[in-house]
Amino acid sequence: MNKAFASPIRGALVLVTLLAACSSSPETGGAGGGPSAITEPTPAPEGSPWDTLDQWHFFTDAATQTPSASVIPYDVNAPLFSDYTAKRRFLWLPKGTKIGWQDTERWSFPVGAVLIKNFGYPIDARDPTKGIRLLETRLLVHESDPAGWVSHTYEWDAAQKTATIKVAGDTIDMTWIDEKGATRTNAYEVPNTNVCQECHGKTGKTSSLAGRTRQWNRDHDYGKGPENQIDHLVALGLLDVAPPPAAQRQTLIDPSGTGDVGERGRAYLDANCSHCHGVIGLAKGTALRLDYDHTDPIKGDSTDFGVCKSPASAGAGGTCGLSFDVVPGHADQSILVCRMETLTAKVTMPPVGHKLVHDEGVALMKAWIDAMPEHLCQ
Amino acid sequence: MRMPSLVRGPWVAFALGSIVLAGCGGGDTTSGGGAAPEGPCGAGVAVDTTGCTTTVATSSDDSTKLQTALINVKSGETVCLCPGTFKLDKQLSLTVPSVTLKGAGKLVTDSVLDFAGDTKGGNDTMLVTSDNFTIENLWVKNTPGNGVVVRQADKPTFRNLKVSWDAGSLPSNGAYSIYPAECTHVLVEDCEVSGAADAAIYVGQSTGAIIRRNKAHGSVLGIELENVTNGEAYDNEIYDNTGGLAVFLLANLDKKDASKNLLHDNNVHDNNRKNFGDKSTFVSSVPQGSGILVVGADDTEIRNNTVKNNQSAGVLVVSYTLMSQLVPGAKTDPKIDPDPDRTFVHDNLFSGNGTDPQTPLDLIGVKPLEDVTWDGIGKTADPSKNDAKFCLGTKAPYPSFRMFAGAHLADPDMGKSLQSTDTKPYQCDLPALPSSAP
Repeated sequence: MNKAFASPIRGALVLVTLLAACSSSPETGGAGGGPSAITEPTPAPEGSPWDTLDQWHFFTDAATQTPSASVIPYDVNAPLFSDYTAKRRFLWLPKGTKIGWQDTERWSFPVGAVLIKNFGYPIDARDPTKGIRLLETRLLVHESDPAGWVSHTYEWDAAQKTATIKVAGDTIDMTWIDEKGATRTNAYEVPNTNVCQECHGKTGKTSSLAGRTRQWNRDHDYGKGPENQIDHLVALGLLDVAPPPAAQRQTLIDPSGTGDVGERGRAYLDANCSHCHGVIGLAKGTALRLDYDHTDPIKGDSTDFGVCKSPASAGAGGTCGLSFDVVPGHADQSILVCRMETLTAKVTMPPVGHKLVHDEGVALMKAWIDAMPEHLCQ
Repeated sequence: MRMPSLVRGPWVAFALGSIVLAGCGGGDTTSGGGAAPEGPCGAGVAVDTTGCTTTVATSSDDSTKLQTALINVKSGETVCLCPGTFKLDKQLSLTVPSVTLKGAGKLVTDSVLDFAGDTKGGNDTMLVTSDNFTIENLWVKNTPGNGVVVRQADKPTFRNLKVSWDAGSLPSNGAYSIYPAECTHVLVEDCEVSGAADAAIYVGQSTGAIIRRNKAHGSVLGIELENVTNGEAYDNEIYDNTGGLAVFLLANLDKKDASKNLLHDNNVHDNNRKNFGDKSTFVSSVPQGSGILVVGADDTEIRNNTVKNNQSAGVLVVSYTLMSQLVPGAKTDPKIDPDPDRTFVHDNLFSGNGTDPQTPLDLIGVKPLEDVTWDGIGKTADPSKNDAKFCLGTKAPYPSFRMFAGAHLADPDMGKSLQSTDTKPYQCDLPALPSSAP
């Protein structure tokens, strides 16, 4: 099979296949997960994503998450909670294109850019050598206007051989062992492609959530020891301007680390809530602003991030019988905590992307609120 | 009126269905069997598939099938639903602009979207975020959260839609039935909605809205315009709610104003249902038996309505500061002007209102309460100066009226000495708001 790809016939095949049908690809005969001879990613025609993940050639071996040479792995400072899945992130840019740098706003990515994220559960979180059970690989593909960013997800089969495009979503019943040795289960939900937009923004305005300085400014090992990820992009010539030095860049601290609880709280809210609760986003109407800039305790207006703010249209059950989003010093009286702690469908926050309570996130939010100078909102 | 209905029958269904199939290869036409003569919805099923790009019939997995159709649909296309009950166990969403979703049956009750099986869904049961969305000729029922929600979009149209909950009017129902929020150019017409635990027809934080010829009943509020500018509600029948027709300016929202809303030619009657809204939400403060209720909004014109048999008040106009005292912990917002300015109430027909004022209007201590009631909370300490420009028109007869000095309800005499039933300071006109009504 691999020999065929290397032969001159392949080029002709590509052309014929592209002309003939939308969703066929260079090697429809490919069995999937195994190592591929093609090392250069093969973007699908706009509007017609490939049927299977391997057809994109982002990975030389997707099952082991080994990226192709031009695919750049990266991590983020503050991850979005996704039901305790282990996530790995990758970026691919078409040859000759660059990212538009922004100090604080989201970066502008060139047409053709693809952000790739693998979701999986560790077999046993205490023993990484046991590996990961991959669930899905999500792509954000930056198409030409007016489409803009387009989202796709590829669901992995149980044999971990093939990931196939999934439009209407799915549920995968999962069991794994967490880092404490406890057996966990989850009816993991693969989102339908519309749900992606609830976080990433509507058609034409869809964007990457973490493609920005404060999430990218951290180290990653690209094979030669820890290296700043943004400096790595600079070295590859992938930024349009020279960014300020690492120490001067806006940076979220690790929410699960040991840093200042106020800063950890802000980082968590920025990563988990601000795509809806921001100046843009689906929950903009609530006037609750949880992005990093608005949660500044000195320069910000505390009402913006919920302090003594009563919700206007929370709907039945949406207030938990409480009066304010955040009551400083009183996490137990704060709607924000209550809505994270519950799994009741109409009440739980965030409304999509999780079926489990993020215990550590709840604990951090409690600590963030309890560390505020006590103030009874009445 | 709407499009003339075609002669229906199996033969017509077949002919139309065939055209649809031939015209666009992308149509996911799912009929009962392989043989074409039955038409897109099966043998003997009378349907009108004019304009349908895709026709979806009920199946063993309605959620996947319908959601897939709503993902694959292209801008400008119409997804039609065959008669029958679609049993949905998940939320539905649409992000493609200029899409119509409609029932292909003759009656609004023919094609039913039943969300009773959606036990895990979030607050927006049907969520649309794209422009130019039209939903019509469908019955949406039993949504665990809000019914049909359109957010941050231009020109959403809700037409000939029925939204209800089988169990009746319960606090566990979705808060809102029809819910365009942060939209522009909203149209809600010929719908019937009941059972919402907040407002049956709700338009929030929007600019430009027409709500006409609807029936809203069995809910906490019948129709609510919340932080809306340029809204018009007319020819609606609104009955058996806690409060009938409401124009609100609420605090702590993104849009900080509500103005220029016109309510005319509505029939607002018998709104005496016990308030079953969530106790910690604003709607729980709506007095049982309110006909037309204005809170905080500016430039509201209320004319030519029939307002009848609402036991607390016919028309009640109050400041947000007064209402917020009724909600535990609710605070006002320094970024809003909480007092209603330039309210124009004229040429309405009142009867049988205010016969038994409920909490907190019983505090005023008058029975029956007058047809038009205003808290007088305005710009100066002396409401008789009418700085707020509260106007009852300049044509007699004037409705019975009371300014009840709401700022003094906590005084030992509950402000009785400041109350007034004299219409003279309020005999004035304001510029009429433009109407789109024919």
